[in-house]
Order: sequence, then C-alpha cells, then structure tokens
Amino acid sequence: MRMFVAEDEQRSREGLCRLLSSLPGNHELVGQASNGSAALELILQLKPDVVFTDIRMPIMDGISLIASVRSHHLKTEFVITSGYADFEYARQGITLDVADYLIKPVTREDVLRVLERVERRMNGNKANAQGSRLRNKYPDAHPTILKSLDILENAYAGKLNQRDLAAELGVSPEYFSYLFSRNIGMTFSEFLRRLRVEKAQEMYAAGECPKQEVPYAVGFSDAKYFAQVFKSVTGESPAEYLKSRNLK
Amino acid sequence: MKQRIQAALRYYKSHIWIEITASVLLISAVLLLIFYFYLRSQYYRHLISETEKSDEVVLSAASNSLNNQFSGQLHIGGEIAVNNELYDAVHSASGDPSQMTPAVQRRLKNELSRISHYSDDIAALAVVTKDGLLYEYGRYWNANGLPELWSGENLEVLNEIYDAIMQNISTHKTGHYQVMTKPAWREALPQMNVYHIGFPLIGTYSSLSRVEAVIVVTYRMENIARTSALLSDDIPDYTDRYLTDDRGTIIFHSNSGCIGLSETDYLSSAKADVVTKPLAYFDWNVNIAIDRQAILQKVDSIYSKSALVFMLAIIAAFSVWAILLRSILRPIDTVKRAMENIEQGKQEKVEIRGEHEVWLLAAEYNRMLDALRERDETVQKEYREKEIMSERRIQAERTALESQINAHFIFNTLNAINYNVLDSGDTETAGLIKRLSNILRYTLSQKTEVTIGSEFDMALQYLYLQKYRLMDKFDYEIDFQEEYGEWPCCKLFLQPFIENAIVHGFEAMDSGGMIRVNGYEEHGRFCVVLEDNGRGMTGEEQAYVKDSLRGKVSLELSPENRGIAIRNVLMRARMFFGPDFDAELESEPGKGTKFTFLLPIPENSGTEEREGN
Repeated sequence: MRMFVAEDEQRSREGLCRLLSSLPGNHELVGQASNGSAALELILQLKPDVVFTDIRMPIMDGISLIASVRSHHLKTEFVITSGYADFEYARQGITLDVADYLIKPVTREDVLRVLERVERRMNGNKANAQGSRLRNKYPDAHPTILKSLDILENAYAGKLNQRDLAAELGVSPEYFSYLFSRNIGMTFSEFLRRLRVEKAQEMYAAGECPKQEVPYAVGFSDAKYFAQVFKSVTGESPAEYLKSRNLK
Repeated sequence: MKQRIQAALRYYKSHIWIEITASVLLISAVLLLIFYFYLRSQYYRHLISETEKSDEVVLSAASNSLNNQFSGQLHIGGEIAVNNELYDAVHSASGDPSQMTPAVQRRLKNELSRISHYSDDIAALAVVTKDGLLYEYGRYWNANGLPELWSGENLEVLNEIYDAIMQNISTHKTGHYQVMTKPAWREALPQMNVYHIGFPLIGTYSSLSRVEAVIVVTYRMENIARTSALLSDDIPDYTDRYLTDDRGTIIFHSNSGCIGLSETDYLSSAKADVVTKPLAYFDWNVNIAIDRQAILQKVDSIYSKSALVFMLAIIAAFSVWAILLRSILRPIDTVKRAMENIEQGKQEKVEIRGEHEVWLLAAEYNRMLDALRERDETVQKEYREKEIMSERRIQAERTALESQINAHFIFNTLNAINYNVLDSGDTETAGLIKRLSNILRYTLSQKTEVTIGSEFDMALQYLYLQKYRLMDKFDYEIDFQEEYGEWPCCKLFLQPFIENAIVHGFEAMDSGGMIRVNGYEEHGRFCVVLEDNGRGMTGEEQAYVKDSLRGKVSLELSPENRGIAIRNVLMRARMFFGPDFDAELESEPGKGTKFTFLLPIPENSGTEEREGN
C-alpha cells in the first residue's frame, strides 16, 4: 500500500514516517509534506493509496486538503491524525468520507488496525456490487444489531417480536430497542413493518406468489391489517399500488 | 342600548339563578292560567245553578206573599161590596154627579175616606154608575189639589170596568170583580205604580140584580211588590224580578222603564232566561229573568281582580325566591371570583361562611389552592437546585475551556515524546503515554453523553495507571457484558468512586487492596457494582453519602469537604438518568465499601413502541 503523510510538526511527521516505514508487509511510504498545499501538489502527482493528514496545518488545513483531493476524483483514502478529535472535525470527516481517525499519540497497534480497515475499504469499494445484504446498509451498527438484521432478513415471514429477538441475542429488550433505534434510526417495529412491505413489493414485482398469499408470505396474519400497514408505509393501498404499476 | 342588551344577555348566561327563576315562573304562570280558566268556568256554572235555585225559592215566596195580599184585597173588596152606608149614599146621589147635593157628597167622601184606610196600599177609590164616574176619592191627590185620576181617556177604562162587572153579573160568572192594569200610573205622580180592582156595590139587603154602581179600588203596586220581595235592595244585579198580567204585559218591574212593555219584547232585548210562577189570582205571573251575560261579566270582573292579586303575589313570591337563590349561589360566585383572581396572579382563599354543599366545594377549592402553593414551592425549590447545578456546570465547562486552550499542546507534545519512546523500543512507556492522553482527552472532551463501553474503558485505563503508580497497594478486576457497551451513560460516572476507593479506602494500606468493577444487565436496567475491601466508611460519612444517594440535595459541604466528588457525580447522574436511577451503599468500617447503581435507558429511545403484529 502506498502511503503519504501530511503533518506540520517536524518531530511528529518524522516519527509517524519512521513508524509507517517500519511496518511489515507490502507497505511503502511514498512521500510527506509539512502543509496542505504542498501535500496537495504531491498527492496529485504521486497518487498514493492512503494519506495520513493532520487537521491543523499552515497555508491549507487538513479538511481543505481532503476536499481538494476529492474534487480531483482521486480514489485516495484519508486517515485524519488528530490530537484532540472534537465533534466539528468528526462531522466534516463524515461528509468527506474519511476512512478512519488516528488519535495522537499514535501507537503501532493503532496504525496496523487503521491500515487493515483502509485495506478492507478499498477491497469493499472494488466489490461493492455484492453488498446487497441488509447488514451492509448499516456498516457502523453495533454487532448485536447487525446480528439482529441477519435474523430479520431470514425470518421476517414468521412471527417476530422484539422481546424474543433480544433474548436470542442475549440482551435485554429495553437495551435492544434502544440500540436498534439509535443505530438504524427508527424503532424495531417500524423497521420490521417497512421491511415486510418492501418484501411484499418485491413479491408483487416477481409475480411468483399469488396476490392473496403475499400478506401471509411476508409475515402478516391478517390481510386487512397488511393493507393498512402497506398504505401507511407507501401511501397507497396494495390494490392502488398494483394498479399504478400494471401488476395484475 | 345595544351594549346594555348584550351586558344583560351576558349576565343572564353567566348566572344560573335567572334561568331557574324564569323557568319556574313560566311554569307556574301557565299552571295558574289553566287553573284560573278552570276555576272561572266552574264558578260560573255554580253561580248559575245557585241563582236558579235561589230564584225558585224567591219565586215561591213572592207568589205566596202576593197571593196572600191579593186575597186580602179581594176580602176588602167583599166588605166594600156589602157596605150599606156607601150603597145608600150612592143610591141617594141618583147617578148624576152634577145633581148631587153637598150633603150626599160629604156622605160619600166620608165613607170613601173611611174605606181607604182599610189598607195602606189603597191609593184611590172611585164610584162608577151606568152614567159614568159618580165620585172619586184620591188619597194622595184630592187633598193636595192635584187633578183627578179618572178623567179624559182614563174614563173609558173606568167604563170598561163597569161594563165588565155588569157582564160578569149577568152571565153569573163566579167572582164579580174585575182587574185592570191600565192606567198604570198617574201623569202627575209617575213614580206611583198602580192597578185597579173593580167590585159591584151590592149592599147587605139588596141582591145582585139591583146593583147600580161599581166601586173601583186603586192599589199601589210598589207596596205589594216591596212586601213580596219583588222590589228589594239585595236583588243581585244580574237578575230582574217582574210581574206580568194575563195579556203578557209587564205591569211591574224594578226598572220602571220596562213597565208597559210586552214580555216577549223585553226578553228578546235583554237575552235572558226566565223562570215563571203563575199566581192564584188575576191570571198574573211572577217572573225572574236571569242575565247569563251579566253573570259572566260579574265572574270575569271578580276574576280579573283576583288575577291581579295573584300576579302580584307571584311576583312577590319570586322576588323572595330570587333573593334566596342568589344567597344560596353566592358561594359559587365567591369561588368564581377567587378563581379569576388566580388568573391575575392573586392567590386568595375563599372565606367559608356556611356548611352546605356549595361551601364544601369552596373548602375543596381552598385545599386545592394549598396543594397548588405547595407544588409551586417544590417547583421553585427544584428550580433553585437546578440553577445551582447549572452554575456549577458552567463553572466546570469554563475550567474545561481554559484547559482546552492547551489541549493541542499537550497531545502534540505527548505525541512527539511517544515517537521518541517508540524509536527506543519502549512499548510499555508508549502504552502509559497512550493511556494518559486517552484519559486526558476523555476528561477534556465536551461530550456529556457517553456509553457504558467508553466509561468502562476509561475506568480500566485509569485503574491501569493508578496500579502503575501505587504498585502493590491494590489490584483490580473489571468486567462487564460487552454487548451492552452502547448503553448510554453519564460521563466520568465511575472514576470518582474508583478514586474514592483508592485515595480514602486504601489510605492506610500498603498492599492487599482490591477493587472490583462489574457491569451486567438486570431487569431492563444496567447494574454497576463497585466493590473495595478498604477501610469502609464511618457512620457520619455514610449518612452524608446516603443523603446524596437518595437524591436529597444538600447545598452545604461536608465538614472536611470530603465526598463532594461523589455527591456531585450522583447529582449529575440523577439529572442524566432521571427518576429511574437507583444507587445503594453498603459499607462496614474495616471491611470495605460497596456501591450498586442501577442505570436505566433514558427515555426517547423508542422502547415505548410495541409490536403491532
């Protein structure tokens, strides 16, 4: 992996460069810069795989640097190295799609962990096509929630409730509910409703299942209730939905 | 004007007593009206039947009296008929008044004067022969020089009487007298109502065939009418009593204007009912006419007077009722005013002046006011506490801000040192530097809401560094259910308790100290147990900390300023977790201290939504 370091403090920069150079495996430090504009010039020229950049730098700061590189459509990954990661930086980092944060002081383990993640990201980007699984939509979710999404994906057609699911995952229902709505952005029951309606729409489109059977196939025990939920989610009743899409 | 009407309407709508009074008034007025009409018709019928009954009695009494009087008059007539003196005097006058000697005249006058005193009812006497009037004696006019009754047209009547009697005698009809109702009065004395009875003058030793003259007795009608109650002051004004003769002519009536009219004409003009009783003499009838219209008018006049009295009585009664009702409803008004005062910010109690339900309501209102005031005070107290806490927080934040100015310097310096250490291959020191800067960063960060995971991580690093410093003094075990790492927690919650255990608990120990920190889920809350085997707490210290655990906020500091960190963290935790946060302390001097905390998931986490299907 070709690496680049942007850091204004000489000792820090040299320290990080030495650390990176000493790493085992197929890693190569291709360059370094003491400010943002110099870094930009070199990055455009060298096209490294990953750039470790400080936030506070003279002439051009780290955030501007990332934005500039992004504007040149390079597939460079960025890792922010910061002594004091506060909220504002984190927020900008998210919009700029930063791979990870490296918090100072930097240890060898930190760097290895970060590089592993960057590598996974790069591979992930190449093979993005196969990411159709439900859990891939929420990469940052808590492991318990990711497990719950796997279960949901397989079991949405059956009887499901939050309490049993939490018990199966070994956490309390309250905590599960809290985690779920925090990670996914909606409550468990709302998510399940949407998932079931989505699956129903897929079934309608596929046309393999008889229309009357769809509600039961996606886990509803009452077709009337299904219609009600369907309308509340999509804004159309199932009949209207089928008609508007010429599905008979 | 319009405003006044609107004001009246508002008053009407906001005061219930008016509505009650008005409706009751309306109902009673309607009932009264019904009752009034019913009573009126009943009274009318009663009055008619009573009148008819009493008229029957009056009629029979009147007819008895009249019969008696007429019988008396006929008796007098009989005596006159057989009066020899008169007979002789008339005989000697030989029928021609102009040929009559003064002596005969005197004789006739004396005799007639004597006869006239047989009865007070006799008004005049006249002697009639086949040649006409022989002599006339007027009890009320001869002496007063008034013109005679029997003159002019009236003489015809006199002759009629004479002829009729003579006819009666020649046809041997029983009862030789003849009654004549004309002329009914004298021109000169219109108030004197009269009738006439003629008798043949026979004498004692003569026979009917030798009758030469007829004597006509004129009676005063009003005398016999008065005696027989035909004329009376106590006759009701809706009845009329009158006499009719054999030809149906009214010969006596209390209203003299009706005398001489035919009865049929009279009745058709007056529209009255008549009760009639025939008399034993003369083919006369005594009658009573009842004027129903007049009775109705009388009843109406009585009832309209009484209706007025009724209305006045009702108005008076309802004025009293309205005043009473208002006094009953006054407490409601008082409560209302008090409530209006509350809206304007004045909290005044209602003065209780009675014991009935409405006053009880007012008392209830007073109690409510008390409760309200109490709650107000609680809220204010809470507000004060919160104010103090937020002041402290601001203070803490300011301190943090001041530190933040140097934060970059600190971390960058540590970073530079770290590279030096790494270059020399000292991984242990690098780890210490890393932990120290992590703790610093965590402490200095502005975030107030963290997770259980980061709190335990923080505690672990803190314990690691303390252990590095103090070496054998203590050891630690830390363990928690990793899957609960995302459970929300308030920042720097565990550290003060750990610090307290190390600094105070193990104060006098050189080795053998043990701290255990455990975290696990229990009944929907996250349970954190902090345990040490240090010196424990004294009773005073326990009491102080337990006050804080129970959520009691004391604003004074403890005597040695100890435990303030614990108290502050408990205050922060209570604010963060809300009322479901629970904390417990077990401590025994010499044995150790155990804190147990139950952390709830704060609300708004979506737990309230339940499964739909």
